[in-house]
Amino acid sequence: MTLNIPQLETTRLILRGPLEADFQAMIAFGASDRGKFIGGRMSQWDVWRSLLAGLGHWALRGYGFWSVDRKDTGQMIGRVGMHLHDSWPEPELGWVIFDGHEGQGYAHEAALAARSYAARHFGLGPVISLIDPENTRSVALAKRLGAAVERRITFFDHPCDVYRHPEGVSI
Amino acid sequence: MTLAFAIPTIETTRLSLRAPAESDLASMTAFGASPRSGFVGGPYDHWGAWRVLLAGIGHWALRGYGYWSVDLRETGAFIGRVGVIYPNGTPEPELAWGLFDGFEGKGYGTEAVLAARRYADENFGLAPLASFIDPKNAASMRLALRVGAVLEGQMVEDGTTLHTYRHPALVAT
Repeated sequence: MTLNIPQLETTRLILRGPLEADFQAMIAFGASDRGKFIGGRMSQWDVWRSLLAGLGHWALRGYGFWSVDRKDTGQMIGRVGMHLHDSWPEPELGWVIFDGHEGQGYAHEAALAARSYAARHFGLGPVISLIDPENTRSVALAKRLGAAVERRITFFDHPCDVYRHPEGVSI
Repeated sequence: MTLAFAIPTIETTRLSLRAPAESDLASMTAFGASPRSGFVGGPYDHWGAWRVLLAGIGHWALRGYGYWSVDLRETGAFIGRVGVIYPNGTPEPELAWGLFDGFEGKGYGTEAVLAARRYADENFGLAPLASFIDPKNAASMRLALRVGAVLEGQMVEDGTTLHTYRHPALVAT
């Protein structure tokens, strides 16, 4: 198998392959309330599995989630990318930004770069995002990215809106 | 980053140890729902089994070793997992195994563990390996003893006290 994870660069961010060194930042996020829209609070063991699973996804599908670092501080501030898990309707563009880094446009910047790369290099697009309607922050970001609700589905026993993005090549 | 990582296939008399595949999911979901999975990270549901499958592949990518899926050569049936894992925060790499329901008591576990251990000793440079076993898991303790491991001490993982078994190192061949 091959793990082929390209590194992307935006004005303020680096999108790079997951590293074992991401573990502590991911534990902190997994223990916070902010994980509630993406499966809930996670134990250290769950987070470890999640880190490994992120790498495994790249190996299995040829695409996956990047870890996002701020260029100015080198700090890991979240994760963004494409995934197609078992029981997913189709490949999804997803994102999470860790505590303290919201509201500064980082998710927008990262998601645009990921979407554009996925369209050009993975042949994925127009892609979807699956968003809990109560996750107002993510709803706002999806709209800002030009995505629109296509339908509502039940996903893991919760209502979930399927947002359809415009064709991804925008930058 | 581009990283090629090999997941070797190992053949024994009755078994094939091979790379995890997406088609393993149904068997892993069934195993995750069974009480036997409680000793190896379970129980887990369909989603959990999917995470375990992806994580198993990711482990090979990160560490260069991991879990093989074990098939019966005669029927192709997927009967369990064996391999070496080293989760962040644990004391050392572990030789671990889990056989699915219905395949116990036929010596498959012993055959798979011996093959995985030999391969790990020769290729991963991790000998002598440890196995961390819940003292309530009598079948696994018997297997550890059968393959020549000895009880060395105890460790605590996630609030559970586990017995540390130490495997013999492979005699140079």
